[in-house]
Amino acid sequence: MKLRDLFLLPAALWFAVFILLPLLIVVVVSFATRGTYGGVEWAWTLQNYARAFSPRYLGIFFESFQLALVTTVVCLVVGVLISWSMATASAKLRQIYLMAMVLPFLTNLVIRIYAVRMFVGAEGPLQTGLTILGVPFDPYALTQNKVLVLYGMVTTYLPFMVLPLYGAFEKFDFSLVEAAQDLGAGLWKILFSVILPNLKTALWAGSLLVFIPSLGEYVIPDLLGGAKNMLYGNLITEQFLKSRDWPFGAALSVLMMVLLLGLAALFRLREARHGK
Amino acid sequence: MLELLNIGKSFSSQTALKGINLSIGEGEFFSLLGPSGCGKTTLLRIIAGLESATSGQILLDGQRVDQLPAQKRPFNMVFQRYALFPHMTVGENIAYGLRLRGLSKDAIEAKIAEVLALVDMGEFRDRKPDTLSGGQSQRVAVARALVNEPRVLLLDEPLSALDHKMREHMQKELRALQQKLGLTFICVTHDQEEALALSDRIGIMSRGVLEQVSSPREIYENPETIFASQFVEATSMLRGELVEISEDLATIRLGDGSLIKGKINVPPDQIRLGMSIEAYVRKAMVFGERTK
Repeated sequence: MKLRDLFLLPAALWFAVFILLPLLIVVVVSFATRGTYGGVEWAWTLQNYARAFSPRYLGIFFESFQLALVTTVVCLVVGVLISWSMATASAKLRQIYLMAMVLPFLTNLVIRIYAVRMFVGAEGPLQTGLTILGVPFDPYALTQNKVLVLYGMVTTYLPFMVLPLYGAFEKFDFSLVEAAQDLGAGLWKILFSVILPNLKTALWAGSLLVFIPSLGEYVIPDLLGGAKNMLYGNLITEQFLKSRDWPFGAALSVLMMVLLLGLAALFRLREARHGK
Repeated sequence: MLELLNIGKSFSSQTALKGINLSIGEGEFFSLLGPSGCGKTTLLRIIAGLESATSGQILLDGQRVDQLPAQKRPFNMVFQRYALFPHMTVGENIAYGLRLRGLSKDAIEAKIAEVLALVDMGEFRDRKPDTLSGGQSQRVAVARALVNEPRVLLLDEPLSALDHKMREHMQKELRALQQKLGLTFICVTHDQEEALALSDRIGIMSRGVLEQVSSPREIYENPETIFASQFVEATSMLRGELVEISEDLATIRLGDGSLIKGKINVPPDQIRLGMSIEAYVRKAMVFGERTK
C-alpha cells in the first residue's frame, strides 16, 4: 500500500462505520415490522414500501418535490445572473461579492431564519413600516406564507448554485460572446445559444447541489410557512420521533435515497457520455 | 470605402487612441502594425463595434455606422484565438450568423457548402472545433465570418496562434482569398513581416497614434517617423561600413565587427570604401505576392 493510500484510511474507516453501516441498518429495518408499542420486530415485509406509495404519502412527496423544484429553478435563474455579473466584475469587486455570498454561511441556519421571522414579525421593521405608511395588511398572512418559504429556501441554497457556476464562468471564454455579437446575436440569444450550453456541467452540478438538500428540507418551511403542510422531511422525522414507526420511516428514507442517488447517477452518466 | 474620422478612446485615466484618421478603400488589404499595447486591437474592436470610441465617427460609404451596435454592422471579425463555439460543429458554427438572419434551411446549407469549399474544409463540416488543428480552426473562423458576406473583414492577430510554418502558409492563403473575393480586409498584427507580406497598405501605430500610413515598400524604404523607422529597422535594416567590393558583391562590416556580404545597388561612381552603408535584409515574402 502506498503512503498516500494510508492517509485515506481513516476517512475510509469513518465512512464505513458511520455512514455505510448505519445506512445498511436503515435498509434492513425498512423491511421489518413495527412492534405494537414501537420498536422493531424482525418479521420481513414489503408492507412499508407499499404504504409509502399510498396516495396520502405520495401527496406529501409531491409537495416536497414541488418545493425543491421551484427552489432549484429560482436558484438557477438567480444564480446564472449573479455568477455572470460576479465573473465579469473587477478583481476587487469579485472578492467582495464572493465574501458576501459565503458570509451567511458563518451564521447558523436557524438563527438566520429567525432573523427573517423577526423582520416580518409583529413589531418588526416590515409591519412597523407598513403601519406608519398606513398600508393595511394581514399580520398572520404576512408572517407565514409561501413567498417567505421560497425566500428562505433560495437564500439558503443559492451559494450551492452560485459557486460552481462562478467557477465555470471564470473559465468561460468571453470572446465567444463577442463572436456571437459580431455574428448578430442579441443578449438573450447569446445567453441561450452560447453561454448556457457551455456551462451545462456546472448548471447540472449546481442544480443537483440545490435540489438534493431542498427535497429533504423541513426546518425552513416549518418556521416560515407555519408548518401548514407536511413535507417529506417532516414525515420521516415524525415516523422516527413521534409515531415510533421506525420501519416505515426507514422505508421512506430508502426511497428518498434511491431517488437522489438515481439523479446523481443520471448526472454522472450524462457527464460520461458528453465529456471527453 | 471605410473612413475613420478623429477616433479617440480613453479609459478612465489613460488615453488609448488619439485622433485616428484613416480611410480604407474597397478591396484593400490594410494592416495595423505596432507593438502590443499600442492601441491597434482597440481600434479594430471599435470598428467592429465591440468597444465604443470616446470621440470620432466611422463612415462606410459616407454613412455613419458608429452608432450601430456590433450586431448591425456589416463587418465580421476573425478573433485572435478563433472563438469557435465549442459545443457546435463546424457547420453549425458557420450557420450561426445565417440562422440569425432568418435564411431558409436550403440557403444556409448551400452557403455552408460554398464557404467550406472556399477555405478547403469541406470534409470537416461535422467535426467539433476541439478536434481541429490550429490552421483548420483558423480557416473555419474565416469561413464563419465570410459566410455573412461582410463589407469588411476584421482580423485580430489572425495568425499569431499558429506555428511558423503554418503561419507562412496561411499568409499566402489569406492573401489569395482576399484577392479572389476583392473584399476589404483590416488586419491587426505585431508581426512586421506578416504586415509587409500581406498588405496593400500598412498603418504603423504607436502609443495610440497612427504614425504612418503607406505601402509596405514605402514604409520599408522611407520610414516617415522615427518610430516607424525603428519599428521596421528593428529586425531588417542593418547599418555598417563598406570594407570590400568585388563585382557587385559588397562586404559590409557591422557595428559589432561582424561581416556580411550582399549585392549592392549603389551607382558605381558613388561607391567609396569606408562609406557608411545601409543593408536591408530581404526575404522573398517581404514585398508581398503581387510584386514577385
